[in-house]
Amino acid sequence: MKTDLLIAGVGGQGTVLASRVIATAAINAGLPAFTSETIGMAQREGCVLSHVRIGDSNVGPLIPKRYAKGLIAFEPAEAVRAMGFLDKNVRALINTRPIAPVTATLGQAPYHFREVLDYLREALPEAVLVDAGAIALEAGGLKFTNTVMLGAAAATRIIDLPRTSLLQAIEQLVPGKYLEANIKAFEMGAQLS
Amino acid sequence: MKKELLLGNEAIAWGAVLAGVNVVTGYPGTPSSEIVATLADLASDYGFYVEWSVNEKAALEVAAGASYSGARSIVTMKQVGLNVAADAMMTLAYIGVKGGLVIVSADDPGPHSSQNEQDTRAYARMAKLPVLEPSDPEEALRLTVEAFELSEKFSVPVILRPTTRLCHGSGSVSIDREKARSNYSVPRKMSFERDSKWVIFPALSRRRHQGLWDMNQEFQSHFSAPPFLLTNIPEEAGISAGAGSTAGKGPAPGPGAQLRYELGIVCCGVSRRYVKEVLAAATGVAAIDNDTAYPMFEVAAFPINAEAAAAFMKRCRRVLVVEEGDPLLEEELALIAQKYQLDTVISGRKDGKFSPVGELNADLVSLALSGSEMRSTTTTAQSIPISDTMQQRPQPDLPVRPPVLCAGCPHRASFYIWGQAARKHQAIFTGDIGCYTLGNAQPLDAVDTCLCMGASFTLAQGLKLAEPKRPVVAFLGDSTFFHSGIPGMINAVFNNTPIKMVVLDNRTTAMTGNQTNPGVGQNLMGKQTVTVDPLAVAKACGVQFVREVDPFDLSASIATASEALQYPGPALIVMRQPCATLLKHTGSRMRFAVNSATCTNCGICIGKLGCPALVRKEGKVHINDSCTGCGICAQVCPSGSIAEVQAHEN
Ligand code: SF4
Ligand code: SF4
Repeated sequence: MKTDLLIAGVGGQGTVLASRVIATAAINAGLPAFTSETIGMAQREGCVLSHVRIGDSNVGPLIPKRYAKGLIAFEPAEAVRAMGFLDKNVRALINTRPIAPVTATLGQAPYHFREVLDYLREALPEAVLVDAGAIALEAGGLKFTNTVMLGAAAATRIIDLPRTSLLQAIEQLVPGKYLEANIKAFEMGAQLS
Repeated sequence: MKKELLLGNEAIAWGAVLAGVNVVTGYPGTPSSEIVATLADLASDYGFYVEWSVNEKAALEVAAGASYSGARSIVTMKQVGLNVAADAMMTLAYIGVKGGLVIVSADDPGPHSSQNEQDTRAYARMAKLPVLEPSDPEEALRLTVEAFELSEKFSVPVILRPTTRLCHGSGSVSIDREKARSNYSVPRKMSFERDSKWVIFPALSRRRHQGLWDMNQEFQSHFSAPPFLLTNIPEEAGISAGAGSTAGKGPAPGPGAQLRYELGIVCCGVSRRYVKEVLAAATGVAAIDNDTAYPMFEVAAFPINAEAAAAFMKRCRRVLVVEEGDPLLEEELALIAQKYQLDTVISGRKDGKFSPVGELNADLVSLALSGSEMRSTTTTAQSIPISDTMQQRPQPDLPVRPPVLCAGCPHRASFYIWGQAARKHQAIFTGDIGCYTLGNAQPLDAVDTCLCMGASFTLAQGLKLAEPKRPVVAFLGDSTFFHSGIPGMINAVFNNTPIKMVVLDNRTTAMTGNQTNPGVGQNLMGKQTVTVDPLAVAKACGVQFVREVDPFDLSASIATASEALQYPGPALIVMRQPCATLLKHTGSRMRFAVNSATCTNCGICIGKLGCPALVRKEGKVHINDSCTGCGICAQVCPSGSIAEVQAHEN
């Protein structure tokens, strides 16, 4: 299997862990994998993008424009921001829970949330829209958004990797004391879609 | 061996372990920080030493001293850190080393998290030191090992230049842990032998300078084959020379004559992968007219071998140079072409095939190869269809999402305090490098200058001299204070320039991932150590007005700030509260909530503080899940509607 997945979100949502889980799961399944992360200043609530490239060793670290076959968006406006990277047959999973930046709260640049959602529904009619935030809160807090999204993306086969490889990767990467809660969040995400 | 997913930085760290590194030093800086962090996790297990040094110059000198005795050492920093270490590096190149010494200087084209786009290779050229530039994590591991070998073979430091997309990209790598283990089974023999060669003197400098020039020739010959140089001429590789071959594009070669290709590609670092992806064409991205058989000249080490480069260029009518950073390879090729009297046209960042600024990607490479002269960042991806639904309507305006200080960040409180105390007097606020640079955003608007590490204290003095009546407040963090703030502080005292120096002491080096520093009381080996207190340092250096305040106590802090502003001489105030991200480890504070019964919805809390946990929910002010309980919003609320809560509603 060869695919390119884009994970879009806001700094602090755990996109880096999500992309490392997917890439590790790919390696567990015997496939080559590359990722590229946003680490540094943008991690303080800025826009973050993780590129995950699976199944081809002859690729660069970044997904070229219009080439992502899967989009996992942790935040709706960030899904729109990632549109330029998407293949026309992209399969998308989008968390509908918005994160309003401080600039919007201050009234400097508004967040047109309804327009963003309407646009996503029209531009990506096949996209799976979920309130992953609500599930994450149920699972113990918004910090579980990433594993909820992973569970949902695995169930919809946007991440087309064996479930066992993904669970194994979560075990490899999540520290022991948070492991159980994260696996629960993954399962709850899998129920979502 | 099992493959595992490693960041480029983790691969470099493992390369050092596979080379049997003994001493690891560095100063944190994006995108380099994870190298030392990874090594710190392995240090006690394998038995080598790691430290976060006080700054890059100290880090390099510690590593050099160890190497004089035969230890293998590695020192890491970001590209601007090399400016700080350069004083040591320029002469260390003359002096040389004994144990292998690798200087990792991570460049940040873009830039993503840096104040400039400087190219480490330019420093290497000035110092006449070799540079290795890996393209992916697997090669990063291998070239790190090679760098140690080279350094020992030639007795000079070797520079490793990763760039952001390598440092923060990951790939599958296999690690020979047994080999790593065996490196440490027999301790390396280390002893410093007294010799005049370790003492730089003008007479020695001259000799060593000549030695470096001579050695450069040797590096060139050494760099004529893999893993340092990878050349591929299609016909020599048994591939039919399709792309851009002379067929139809120029005079046919005579019998027995070599083909002259229309275009060859010269690339280095991460760009090699962009080129290969585009050429593989499997991506469907490349709108290249022919097949994929371009001659390739892949550079993984500098200085490049002039003869090999000339031989390559001889085979190409044009070459496209694809490199991150400044057009150094491109310029070098131009010099070689001139020397060998070649008519090859060399293009890249200098002639507008690529923009001279910013980082590259596969789309830009594809565009350059498609023959367009465009400089813009638009790509040939335009030729790939997008779905009808994507085209149906224009995108909505998106919210602007700049990075911000965390919820409960003590810097937010500090900037609010000084804003209240000093801005009414037209004060100038000089800023520095760290999370607190983010205090520039509205509503705090508390950074009027930012230049480089430690410059807040010293720029402030110049501003004060020019406008003596205007208060000048200089801000820097605890780690920056130790890195390069102290000499600036002494300069203010020595020259009696009455600036107000504020140390934002959050007990960590936050922006780069919470590294220890001399103020924390614990070093990277996990040992309890002396806590160097900026207050005591300031007093010892002769600052007369020295105070510590808790920035979460707004009124007391504003009073102290006002007092400092009244004080006629230089003053230093330490604002001390741990970074909000440290709460994860130390247990959280109580959270705060808005009492909607009494809240007048005036929005003063939001407008004054801009904390990301303060949001509007159905029009009403609300505190969300990310609140870490600093409590300053409760102090600015005029109606007393914000209070601590136990549980949190969402
Ligand atoms: S107490 Fe107020 S200012 Fe502090 S983190 Fe919570 S919401 Fe933000
Ligand atoms: S400042 Fe106080 S009264 Fe005003 S909106 Fe905020 S919480 Fe309500």
